Amino acid sequence: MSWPAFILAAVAALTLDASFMPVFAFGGATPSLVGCVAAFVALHAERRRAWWGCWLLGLLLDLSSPMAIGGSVTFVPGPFALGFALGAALILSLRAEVMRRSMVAAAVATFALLAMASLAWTTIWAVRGWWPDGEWPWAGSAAAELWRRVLWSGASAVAALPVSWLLGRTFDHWGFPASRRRR
Amino acid sequence: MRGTQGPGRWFPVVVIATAALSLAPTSMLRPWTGDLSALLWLPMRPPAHLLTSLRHWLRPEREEGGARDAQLLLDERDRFRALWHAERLRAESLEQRLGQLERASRMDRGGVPVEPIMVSVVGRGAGASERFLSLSAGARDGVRQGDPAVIGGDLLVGRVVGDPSEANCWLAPLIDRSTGRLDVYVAPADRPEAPPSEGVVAQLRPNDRGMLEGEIDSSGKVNEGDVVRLSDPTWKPAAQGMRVGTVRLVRKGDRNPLRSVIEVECGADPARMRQMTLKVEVAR
Repeated sequence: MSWPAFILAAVAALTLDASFMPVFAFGGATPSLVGCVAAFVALHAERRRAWWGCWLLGLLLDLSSPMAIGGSVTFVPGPFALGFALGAALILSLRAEVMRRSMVAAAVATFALLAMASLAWTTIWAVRGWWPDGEWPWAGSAAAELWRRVLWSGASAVAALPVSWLLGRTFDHWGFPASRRRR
Repeated sequence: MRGTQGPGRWFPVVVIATAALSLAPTSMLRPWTGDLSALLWLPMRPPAHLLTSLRHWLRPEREEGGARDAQLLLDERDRFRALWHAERLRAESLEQRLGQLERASRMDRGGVPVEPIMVSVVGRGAGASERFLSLSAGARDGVRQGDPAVIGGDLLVGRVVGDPSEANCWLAPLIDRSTGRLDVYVAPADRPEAPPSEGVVAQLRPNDRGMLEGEIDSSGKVNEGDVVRLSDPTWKPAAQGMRVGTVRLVRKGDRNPLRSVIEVECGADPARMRQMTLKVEVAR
């Protein structure tokens, strides 16, 4: 996988997530392009780069998600980074069984990766809530928050259908093993 | 070939470090993660601002009023109404304080001059349900932690959280969990100018349906459509008397039949907001 192509896609996805994607929000869930790119990378990149790429995307998401704890804005690096790494592990173990270039496979992979990331995120924040200076960043229960994030994963999976097609158009520029073989 | 099969020698170390960071105390993370995030956002802010404008052009804010002129007049009316409410709350507060006859010379009359600043929404937190908004004003514009933001003259959006950077700040909308409990009073829909003493006092907190929820005494007359205004000493004086939203639901409490539960819909929808006014205290 070509790192410049990855960084370009990551920055574009993060910028769009933070500014433009709410235009596609439905039912309070805004699709995540970062999740779509992570699933695309996990499906196609060499295993080692897929791990690192997903971890990095999660870390970028952590640093773009401010939380107010004790009246101050805090960025906690880790919950999404670990979640995306776990999601990558799941997809890497399953990707040999699926048609990776299929848009449906990309959508399912996006859902699985983000659902796993949501589980990790909610677990870590639930634990942090017990710390002396910690707070839970949700109203209601952790289960309700997890459900909201599962809906987010679903919305992102729907968005992954067209996004994976678009990313597929750029496949040759990513330097994935499959694109090298094709040449 | 073997080298690319696993995550590599360093990856487990990095994962353990990430796990440690994710569970580290907030006080340890706060000093440096903000700067790191600001660095990350630096190149992304201009395109994010453009894309946010594009988004608002594609999906504009709902305008509930009719013509533009009429809307401006309504905004102006609401702004003066809010000022009036704020002044009245301040007067009531002063009366109470004077009644105590203690430390009269050290009383804070709350009359801090406020400068309104029009700000744009640059972006928002990129996670699943993060509602924080990034605004185009910061410390160099005099913005400080806790400054309230309003639209349409008196409709409260939220307040600034954390220390603003030079050119930007983060705003936590009312429905964000970090807002915590809000002291409010409910004025009847047909008499929105009713004083707080005639209204019903309540304490609201965000619920998981994106509304504010609180309990009131069942004997208190609250109906759907009533207006809810802020009267919370933990907020800055510039926010007092501002409109929080409208009562959407009144039902009997599950745990206590003598109490009713009200659900309040915030008037400002942060997801659809393009510009707002920050009420910044002028340094004396």
